Amino acid sequence: MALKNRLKEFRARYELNQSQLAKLIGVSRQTISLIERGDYSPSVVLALKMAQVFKTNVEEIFILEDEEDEKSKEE
Amino acid sequence: MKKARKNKKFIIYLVMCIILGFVAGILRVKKESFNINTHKIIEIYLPFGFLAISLIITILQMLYTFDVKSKIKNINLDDIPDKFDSDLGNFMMLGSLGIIISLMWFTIMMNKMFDNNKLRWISYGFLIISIIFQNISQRLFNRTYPNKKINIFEDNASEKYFNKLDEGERWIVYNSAYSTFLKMQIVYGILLGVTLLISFVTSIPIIVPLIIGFIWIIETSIYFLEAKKYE
Repeated sequence: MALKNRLKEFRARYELNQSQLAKLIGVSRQTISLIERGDYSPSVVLALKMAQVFKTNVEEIFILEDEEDEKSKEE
Repeated sequence: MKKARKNKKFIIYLVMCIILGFVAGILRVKKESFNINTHKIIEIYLPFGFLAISLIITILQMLYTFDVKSKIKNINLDDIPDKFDSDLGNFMMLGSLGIIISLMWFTIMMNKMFDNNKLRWISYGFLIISIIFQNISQRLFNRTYPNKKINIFEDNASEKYFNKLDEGERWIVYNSAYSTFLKMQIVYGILLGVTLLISFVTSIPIIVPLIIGFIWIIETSIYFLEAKKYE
């Protein structure tokens, strides 16, 4: 199951660039970039911190994509 | 389709190995061996080769020093541009390479077979220059990233630096390290293979395959022992 995220969308909504979001959460800009690209799945702590910053739930930012959804998309 | 591609690759590798084995066999059977003038390579080309490489690295380090120092005054440390980050990374990598190459050259020049004192002192000079540039690159890194300061001269410097990294940066370190380990397995195999082929053609010091083999064994053993700690 792939982990998709709407981080870029939330950043745009709150007018935050990667560096500003990174500073708010206490990580490097590189980490935010890795998460946005889908290369790295954040820890629970980091995901919760992001949800706090965007005043939403973790499930709104990160979505687990089912294998079936992936296959149907490929078709 | 995937199976056909796998089989095709396997056949290509098989054919390449057959050709290499055929060539190696013919060369082994030939009574005369090729004589490579190792004396000229070691006495003349090797020291001057190191001199050329050290000069190139020093010039690049000087250019990076001017470039990074001029840019660091104008950048916003809260939003470091990717290009600057990349240049700083390249500068630090050059620093490490410079020290390794200078140390190799100095060690070779201290060998009793060389009696050229001038080159010996020059190699020592380049070693000092490399350490100075490494120090400069470290200071610039610490200025750019004050919350991740490194001091390579203190005890457990690598461990202290690693503990300052966040989870994403540590993920990069883990992946880079594992990728390096995998690629080095291939490199050692190729090196031993090339050494074997050269041995068919001319005499090669026994210490060469011994050293390659020992380093390969040490690296593989360390990896498995480290992995065992987490079982």
